Amino acid sequence: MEQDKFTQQLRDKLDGFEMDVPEGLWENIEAALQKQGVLPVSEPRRTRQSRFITLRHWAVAASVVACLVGGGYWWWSRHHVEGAPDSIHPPEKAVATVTTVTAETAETTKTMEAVKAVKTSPNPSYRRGMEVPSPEETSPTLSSRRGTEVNPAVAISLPKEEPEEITPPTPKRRKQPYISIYSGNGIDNYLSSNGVEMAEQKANSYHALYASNTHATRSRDIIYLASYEERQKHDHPIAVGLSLSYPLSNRISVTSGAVVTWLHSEFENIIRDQTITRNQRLVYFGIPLSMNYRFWQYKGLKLYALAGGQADWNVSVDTNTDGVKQEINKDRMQWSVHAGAGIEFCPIPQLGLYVEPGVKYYFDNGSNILNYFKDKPLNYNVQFGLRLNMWNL
Amino acid sequence: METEEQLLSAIRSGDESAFRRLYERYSRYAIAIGLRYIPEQNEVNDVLQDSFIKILTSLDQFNYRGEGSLKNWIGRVVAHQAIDHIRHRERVSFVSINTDDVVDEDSDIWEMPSEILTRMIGRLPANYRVVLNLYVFERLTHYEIAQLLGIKEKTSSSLFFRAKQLLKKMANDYLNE
Repeated sequence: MEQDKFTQQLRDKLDGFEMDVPEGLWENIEAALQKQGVLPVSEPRRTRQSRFITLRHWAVAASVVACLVGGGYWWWSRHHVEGAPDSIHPPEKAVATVTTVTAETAETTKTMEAVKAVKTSPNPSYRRGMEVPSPEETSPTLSSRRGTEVNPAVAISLPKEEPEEITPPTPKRRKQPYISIYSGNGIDNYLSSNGVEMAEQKANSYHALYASNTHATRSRDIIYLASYEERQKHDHPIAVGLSLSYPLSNRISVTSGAVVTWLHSEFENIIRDQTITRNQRLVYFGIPLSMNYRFWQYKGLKLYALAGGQADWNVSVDTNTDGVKQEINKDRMQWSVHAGAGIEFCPIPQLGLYVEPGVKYYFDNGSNILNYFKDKPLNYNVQFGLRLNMWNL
Repeated sequence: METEEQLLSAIRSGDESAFRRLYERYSRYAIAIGLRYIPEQNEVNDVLQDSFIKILTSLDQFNYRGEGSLKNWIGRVVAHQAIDHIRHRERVSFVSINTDDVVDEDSDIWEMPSEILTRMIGRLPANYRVVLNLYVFERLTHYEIAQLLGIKEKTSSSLFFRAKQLLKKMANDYLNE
């Protein structure tokens, strides 16, 4: 047992051994702590935790505030323009006027051409449906319809059931692209605890030693070390994103965008009476792509289903063991698929508040980095956010 | 004498002088650990400084488990910081070594002065001294060292064997001078 003797001698000789410390080291440490704002510190534990929690809260709050301010600004801008004295009639009024004319007049090729001219007007604002010229401005013929003297020669006659042909392209909300800012996370934390296996070589010796015992373990049994344990805890993924949706039809739309996901895991190796704690923080940048199908709508409330996939790239890794930073490689690209349902409430046409509960599956990317995606590849999540219908403004 | 629990309590209650007391109480112990990993004094000073900054800003991560647990934790932080430093500064190769032809040499390291022995360990090749420190002083098994360093268990045991032989030879040379 030469090795044991050597190890024991060395341990006895140097365990707890102390040496002189150079002068001025504390002053450097103190200066660094003051620079970091750690000194003076009232309660390090609470300060540190609250700093982390505050950061998360600020991130979420910033998203919400940005959305509200942005939405409010666009909404206010729109109403401000409409209320201006030189503004032109809104789309609804133009439609009503033309429809009335259609019902009262006879057909003429000349006026049809005039109406077509209105329809194909190069005025971009008109084509967007933002501002619609009045009939008086676009066609003298239409103007004359309002007078008591109606000239049959210039009357318009359009089939009543086809008013949309001359209706300015009034925005249809569900057909317009929209942008949303959202946040989401998994529903639960994930905690696992594993025994540590005895090394194969030692396990063989153990089996050989206790082979004759009636309670002997079988040779293929895994032996767990009593004083060793590995624990891992994975917090909710926190995701904040910005998405852009484009309608393919009245009911179907395709959505993509960008999303940033934060993962935090804590690993504990319990070795005899000591615990080594490792914290891991990962940040992913992801691009989602999904299809949405709206199956019900009543006024400002609508229900829809969605399905799609997402690619995430690990952009940041922060790992430390017992407070000491360690360098590890970044995670590989992470693929996932998701499906779910959504409910959206639009208090005003320009702004929607939505909640999307769903299920997500993360494919194994083959890396050695343990995280929430690997330990819980299939998980339920709830995404919520504010959707700003930019083209409706 | 102030217990570790009292010291922690003082720090957590905002007693600024308690930071200094913690440093003065454990810095001599910490530098001895650092010098077993890193031979250069200036680099050890850097490691010690970084370690204490991390210790004093990470006390929320420390779970008090009785008298002596704070000292052990500080020792582990310094050891991990030193390993991290070695990995960044030195090209460390943790590969398995054939130890079949090595003759085990006897040596009575007990007779060595502690400071000389400490500095001698610090002058072993980086891969030797990391494994030796983790095995002897951190009391990790080769399985645990393998897990920590991302190497094979056999590699860890062969590096330790080589480290032990080299240290014995260095000690014998010193004692026979």
